[in-house]
Amino acid sequence: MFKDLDPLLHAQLRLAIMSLLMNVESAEFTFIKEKTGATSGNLSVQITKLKDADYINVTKRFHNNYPQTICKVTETGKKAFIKYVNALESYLRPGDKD
Amino acid sequence: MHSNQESFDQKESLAVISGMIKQTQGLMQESAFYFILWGSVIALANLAHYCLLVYSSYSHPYMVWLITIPAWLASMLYGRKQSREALVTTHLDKIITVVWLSFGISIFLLIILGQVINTHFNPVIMLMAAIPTFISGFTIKEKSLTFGAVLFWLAGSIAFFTDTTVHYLIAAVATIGGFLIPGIILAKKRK
Repeated sequence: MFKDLDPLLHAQLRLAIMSLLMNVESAEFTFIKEKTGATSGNLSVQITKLKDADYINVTKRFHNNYPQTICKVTETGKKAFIKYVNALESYLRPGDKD
Repeated sequence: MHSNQESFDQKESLAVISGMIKQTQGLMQESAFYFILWGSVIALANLAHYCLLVYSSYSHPYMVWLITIPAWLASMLYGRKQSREALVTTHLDKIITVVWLSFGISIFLLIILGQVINTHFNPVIMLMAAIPTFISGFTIKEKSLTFGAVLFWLAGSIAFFTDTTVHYLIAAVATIGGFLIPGIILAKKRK
């Protein structure tokens, strides 16, 4: 039987956000927007969903009077991402099917 | 690029993951400032220390090293500004910072303990300076820094066979070649 894929991560933009954040210490909203090519509105919605699931930590700061949103993967998020990648591997390696 | 579709197939998942990994490759925070600052400060302090020892009768030539205090302050202020302005901080940025911080603490302890037992660890300090310089050069793929690390290893080794006074002259040359010149090269590349 295939392992279940985490529905929260098995969505294109949320997976892109998590993949990006897994590779950096922290990233600002505009950086994530540029790299994922998402719209601000859509990105905000998906970041909120990941934050609500405690997959990412979101902090606000001001730089030159402009607000900045800093995102960072939490331990829960790291575990969920690794679990997701492992589950993905079981789909892509037919020999591992139970 | 990314739609809001709630699910997609597994191969697309892998494509998204690998695509995002590629997007974060080669991202590193600017470090030229630190190499230029510390390259100038350490080289100047070493040259001043050497000149005071050789050409003057001043009894406290080590006082020239007080110049490192404003350099520390400048480094901390710049680091704070840099982290505030950075849109992204990579794991490598964090590792490099910790490596240089560990080096700074070790050097500080070597200098203080050297004063206590009245011994000069200049050759050891040069050999140690090669480690973070080599790591930085390797991670940011900057050959001048890698050569700088080799210069520190050579200078440190040579210094073991010379008089303590000459250590300051050797260290000044090593710092110019190991920190200052790579720093200027990095700054030019950044532009």
